[in-house]
Amino acid sequence: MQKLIAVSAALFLLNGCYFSRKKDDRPWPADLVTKIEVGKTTKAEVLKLLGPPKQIIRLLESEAYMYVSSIEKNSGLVLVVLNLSRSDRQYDSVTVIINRQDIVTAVGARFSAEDAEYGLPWD
Amino acid sequence: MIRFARAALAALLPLAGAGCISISLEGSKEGLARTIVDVHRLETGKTTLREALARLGPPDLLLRTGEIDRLYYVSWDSFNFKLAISAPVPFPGRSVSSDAFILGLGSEELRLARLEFDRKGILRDLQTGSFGSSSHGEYVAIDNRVVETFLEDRTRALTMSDEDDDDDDLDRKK
Repeated sequence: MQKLIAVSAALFLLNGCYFSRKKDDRPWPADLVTKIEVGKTTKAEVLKLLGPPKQIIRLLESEAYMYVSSIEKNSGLVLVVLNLSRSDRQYDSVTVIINRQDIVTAVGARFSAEDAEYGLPWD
Repeated sequence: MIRFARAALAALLPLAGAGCISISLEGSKEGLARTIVDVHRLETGKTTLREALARLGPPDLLLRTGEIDRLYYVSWDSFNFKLAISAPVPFPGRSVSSDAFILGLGSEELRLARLEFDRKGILRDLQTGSFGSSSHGEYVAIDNRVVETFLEDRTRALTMSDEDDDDDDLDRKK
């Protein structure tokens, strides 16, 4: 019994844990995206509102401007020989489709970066 | 005194194994699975690119391939277990160890939706699936071509901007 208590006490005293939060790129306010109107807003206005995109993808009849920022939350517990770790990465992203006349034809936005969570490996 | 020594020895046992044995449990998650559930509301031949983006939000991957624009919505969930036993190798002046035994078990779940739009921006094809993988990284699915195409497209998308630049140069020369 004493051995068990000693081992448990050692595991308790010799452990360590960590939490980290990694942010990739600067997030932008959600209300900025509501200012983009399909069929009205121009490419120049999009660039003025959101700045340069992370990626521009050429499509068949248009271009897609991809804006992405992410939050990654890592947590871990180190119990001498047992390591538990978990990571969760979620994104805030906006995709704006701009036609050859430089007018926005479609917009998609998702703001879920803050949904990233700390937790246990099996969560 | 002997009792105390035994207890102390027991307490130090985990420390003795610390460099030689390691057990790790690792979980990771990326993206939202709920977006993929909403894909079933779309109709092929009817839904436009504009409606799809408004309903599902931005895709995780978007690219032009042949005469279609392809969008992917993806979420990953993985859990891995690893047991490693390593033995110290006597090497003067350096700390060297060799892995004597490694056991790795894991599972990965990939939820994926692939949408294909024609030149007019109308949805022409829609594929969804949930794919589980073995610990060897090979996807086990009824039809894993969707996953294979996704992996190929992802690689292509990473190099696409360079290819496009080259196309521009060719156009200018013409």
